[in-house]
Amino acid sequence: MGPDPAALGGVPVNIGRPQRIIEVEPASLPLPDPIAPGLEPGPAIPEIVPDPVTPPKP
Amino acid sequence: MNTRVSAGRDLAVEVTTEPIMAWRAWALTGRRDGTDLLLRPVAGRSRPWRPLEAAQAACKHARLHAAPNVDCSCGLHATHDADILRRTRTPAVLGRVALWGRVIEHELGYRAEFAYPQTVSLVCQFCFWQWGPFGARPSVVGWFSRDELVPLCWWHLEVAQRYGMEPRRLVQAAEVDLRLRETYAVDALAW
Repeated sequence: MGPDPAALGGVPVNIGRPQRIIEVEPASLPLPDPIAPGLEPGPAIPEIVPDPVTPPKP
Repeated sequence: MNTRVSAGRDLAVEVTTEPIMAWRAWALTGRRDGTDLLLRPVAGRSRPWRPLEAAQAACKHARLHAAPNVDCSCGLHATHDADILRRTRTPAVLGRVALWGRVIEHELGYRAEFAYPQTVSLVCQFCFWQWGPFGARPSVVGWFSRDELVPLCWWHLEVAQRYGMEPRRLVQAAEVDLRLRETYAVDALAW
């Protein structure tokens, strides 16, 4: 059983052989509240502007 | 928890109501100004994990079976330990992920039908490769071609630039980290 290239980038991250099957039927889905922050796109993140380099004195 | 035997593979089948928590790494894409952040599988341009929606596994190798399938490698992968994720190619985000639906447990991790991140943090991939998850906090995020966002510490930014890996734009990692958590409505990974 190899890794899923789509999930792990084509680099073998071997998770070993299957051991058991777990059917997880959660009482409530582990998803955030749909009205949680994130629906509105935030403002642009400002660019880091490097410090100007002082030209060397002649 | 009920237990019965799977036909064919002799794998025990257990039923539970508690989502499984595991580790996972993602690549990160976004616009040059740090907006439209999307977690993606570490490989290429695979389907992103959409904010506020459960990621659902699909098998690209054999569409005739549901994912994950015991006899395939499909499914949403996650691992028992974070350390094993150091072998991934371009990890930009490390986090804990909740798994549910049909989950196949392996010796070192899981393949799941549904998943959603619960905690995330940006990592400098070079620090992560060298020292593991707890020494990998980035300072900046570089924006590269194809909207790829690469978190880097100052030292590895300098190294990357020296080897021609020049980001087109730099933004503060702390701001991208916060925006990512807001986008997915999740908490910061506790270091």
